[in-house]
Amino acid sequence: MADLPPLPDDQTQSLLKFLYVCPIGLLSYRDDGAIEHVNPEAVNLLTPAFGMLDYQNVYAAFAHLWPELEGLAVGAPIGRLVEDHRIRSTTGPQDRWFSLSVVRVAEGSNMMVVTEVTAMVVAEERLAESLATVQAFEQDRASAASALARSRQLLADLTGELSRVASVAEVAEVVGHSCVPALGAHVGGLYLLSPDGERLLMIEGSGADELIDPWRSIPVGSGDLPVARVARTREPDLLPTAQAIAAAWPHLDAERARQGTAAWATLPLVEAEQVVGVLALAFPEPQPFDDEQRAFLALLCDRVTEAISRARLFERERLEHARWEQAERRTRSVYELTAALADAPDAESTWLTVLHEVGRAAGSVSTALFDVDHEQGLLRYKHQYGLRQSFADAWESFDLGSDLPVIEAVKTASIVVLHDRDEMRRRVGDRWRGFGGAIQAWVCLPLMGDGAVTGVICLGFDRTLDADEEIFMSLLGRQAGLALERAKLREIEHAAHERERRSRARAEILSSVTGQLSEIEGTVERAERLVRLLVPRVADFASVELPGTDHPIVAVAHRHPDLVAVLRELRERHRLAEDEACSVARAAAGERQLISVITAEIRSEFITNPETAAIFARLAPTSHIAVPLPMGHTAGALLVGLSEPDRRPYTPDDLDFIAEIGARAGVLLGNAQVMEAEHSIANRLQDALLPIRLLDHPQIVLHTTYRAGGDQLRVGGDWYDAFQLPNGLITFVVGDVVGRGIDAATFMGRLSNGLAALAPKAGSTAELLTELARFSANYAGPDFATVFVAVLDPTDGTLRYSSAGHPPGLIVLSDGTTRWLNEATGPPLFGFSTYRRTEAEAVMPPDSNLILYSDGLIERRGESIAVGLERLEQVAQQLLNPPPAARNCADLLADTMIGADNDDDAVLLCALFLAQRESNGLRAS
Amino acid sequence: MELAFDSTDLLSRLESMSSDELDLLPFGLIVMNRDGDVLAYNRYESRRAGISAAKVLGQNFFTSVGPCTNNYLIAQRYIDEPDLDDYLDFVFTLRMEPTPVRLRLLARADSGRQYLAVVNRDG
Repeated sequence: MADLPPLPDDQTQSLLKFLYVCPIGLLSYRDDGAIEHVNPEAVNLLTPAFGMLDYQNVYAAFAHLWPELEGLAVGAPIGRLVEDHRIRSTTGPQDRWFSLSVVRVAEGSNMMVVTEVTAMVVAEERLAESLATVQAFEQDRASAASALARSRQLLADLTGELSRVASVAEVAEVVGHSCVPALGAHVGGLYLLSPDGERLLMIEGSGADELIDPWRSIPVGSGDLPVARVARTREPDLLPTAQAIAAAWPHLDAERARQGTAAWATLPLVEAEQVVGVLALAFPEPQPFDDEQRAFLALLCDRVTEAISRARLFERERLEHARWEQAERRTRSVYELTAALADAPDAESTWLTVLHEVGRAAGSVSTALFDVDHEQGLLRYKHQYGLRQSFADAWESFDLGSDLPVIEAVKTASIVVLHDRDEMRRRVGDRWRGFGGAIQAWVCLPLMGDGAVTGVICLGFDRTLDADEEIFMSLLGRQAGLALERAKLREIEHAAHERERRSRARAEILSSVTGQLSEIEGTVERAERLVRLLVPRVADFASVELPGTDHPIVAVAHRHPDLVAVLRELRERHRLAEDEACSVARAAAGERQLISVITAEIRSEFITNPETAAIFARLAPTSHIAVPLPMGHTAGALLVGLSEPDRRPYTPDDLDFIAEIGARAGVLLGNAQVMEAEHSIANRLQDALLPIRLLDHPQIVLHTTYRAGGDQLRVGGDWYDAFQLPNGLITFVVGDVVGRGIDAATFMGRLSNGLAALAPKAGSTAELLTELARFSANYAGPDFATVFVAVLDPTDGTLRYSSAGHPPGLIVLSDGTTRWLNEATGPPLFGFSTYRRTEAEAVMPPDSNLILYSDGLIERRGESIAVGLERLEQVAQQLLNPPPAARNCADLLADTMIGADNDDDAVLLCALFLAQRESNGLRAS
Repeated sequence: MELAFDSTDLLSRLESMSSDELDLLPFGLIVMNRDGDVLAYNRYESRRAGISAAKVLGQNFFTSVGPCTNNYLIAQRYIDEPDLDDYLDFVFTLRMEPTPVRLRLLARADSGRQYLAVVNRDG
């Protein structure tokens, strides 16, 4: 008992008492958590709530209840550290809440205040609950607002969809597939007022068919249907519940029940105060149809109405555009028809063009064309397509007196249209079946020529026609009629023109044949020219043949050069076949042949050898003419043929023409043959007449040359000669008998021989020429001959000379100077036989050249003789100064003087006079 | 013979003890009527709490003297159980210092008095 503390004084007891009953829990503790003081209320609050705590150390006491307490105070500033930290007790029958506040009262000293706040927490919770209620309410309000936003969005979406539609059908689709489901309706119908305003036609129904089908067409006057009434009154009919529907439309309640509908909205579509349609919606759930929903539905109806009117406008526009396009297409068709008809080469193809082009332009499925024969009083069927053959067969021709629609078109000169099958049956009687099942309309279109109907085109259509189309077709008929008229005229004109052109072309060819063949010589050359003239102008290939001769195929030509050899082979084969029927042999015998079209039968008849057939196939001739070539002694044939597929086959007219060519060419070919024969004689003759071996004299180096003219066929009459007279004088002669051929050559021979015979007896060159003139006058021959004679005395170089109309001789001295021997000129031999000729004298110094020649050497076309002489002088000076050794001076001169194109013969004699030598040297015997 | 805190006959002995006898007890003892008004506050308890008996006599113990007992662990037991003799370890805040104690709650249905005995737990 002794350890009991004494009682404190009364004041302290009062203070203790105050603390004992303090109704707030107080607890003081140091920073290490050791509790210094605690009052009973603290224990009273905490212990029952949380069990016996460790009241020695506050951190241990609150280790689980408030772990953060430890570490709260240390280092913290003086003052309140935590206010109203709440802990909860769940051990008792009710949860209790305690509020803990911590105050740092001094460094190292802290106090905790513990109060129970259960009531406050309860109050707070209640407050929170009511706040939550308020919030929920707010939320509800917000969600209501967002529902509004959604319906606005829906409206915007639908408006967007509706704004994109381009046709009423698309509006209907948007309503049916977007609006109705979006609104939550299970049946929807979009009605539009019919054009006559009598009915409401459902253009879109969404929902099961059996729910919609009874309502597809509703008379506006129908009094007992909401759609009709709404259309009449323009007032929406909104029935939010099944009861409301039953009350308003008792007779429809069964239908409503069948649909399973709980609410109806029947809404007018109004544009500019006019009802254009009705939107009917049925909902499976009751609807509020409050102001908001009504406004929404009204707006939706406005949008649908707008979309419908816009779509209708758009459709009208499209229709207009389509009409415009069709008009343009028709205009183009007329142009195309005109163009096509303008291209048609003749009346027949114009008819065909009319048939097809008019049909195409009009878009008919069948077309028949008739030609009016006014003289016979008949309408003749010409062409058709697309109709039954029996129909065409039946319509061979019609009497213009009958009353068929086609005749009406002729008589009235205007389009006759049978608009439907009834009219067709009525107008053509039994024949109407021939139209065929597809034809719904029939048009008889007169083809107007120059003031008269020239034909009728009948067009069948598998559709009905409008008035525009009839006008359009009339236009087509006018174009076609004019074209036919034009084609007939043009054909007449063309035929005349063609005849004219052909005869001109033929005259030209004939003239070419005569002219061009005359220009050249030689049978082969002329034949070659002939075939080249004919191909390709009148033939694709041609040949000139001389059957029975050594070289029967004279000339061939083919349009395609690579086929020439093939043609030649074919001709050779025909020759070897020696077939009686061989057309060339028969043509050569004088028979004219025409095979206008070489058919397969003809081919197989003439060609039996398979190899020949193969060659024939390569050439593929299509038309053939063979005519004689009357060549005098020989019998030739000209063969021409066609192989190009687009060539017009030969006609009898062509045969006449080719025969004419053959006649003319035959003569020219015959002439060539004769001339060739003659030329070979003349050449032989000239060879014989010109001296084989000329003078061989030690003081004379003699060179001669003979240049034939370009015209090989004609032998010239030029000659030269040089011989030594018995008295030692040397005679040089150059002569020219004018004319060519055998006559000239023969006469030249006579003169040459005559002169050589007269020379030894003549006292002078003048006397020699006089005698020669007299001698030659005895012979009939050419009209004209010239001779130059010079006689050289080799002992002193004296040269005496005389000229009978011949160009002057020339002496070229060793220093290049020249002397013309242009004196003692007398007339030509013939006609001047009594003329007293003179002689002149010149001197030839040693190493000078004497040049004698015929006029072919110096003459050039379009040039005076003087120029030729001058040229000779210059050339001689250049070439013979000094005279080139080991060269034929005559050839040298002639080469320089005569161009390639000389057409006259020329002879040249060039004698170099050498000084007399001690030794005469060897002389040829 | 000295009466011990844990004597089995403590309650019956207390019924007949005078205030002086109570002051001699080697543990704290509060005698209350059945409403909890303090009838006696022995010397041991008075010294420990620092409060003279005169300041507490007649006052309600649970509310005005030892409010730390005004809870279901202690005060409620006296209300709920007319016959009561039970021990309870508790903490008293004697002179505001936390003091671990063992309590003995005593009451008898046929008595107008109830008792709370208090002894230090750690001696």
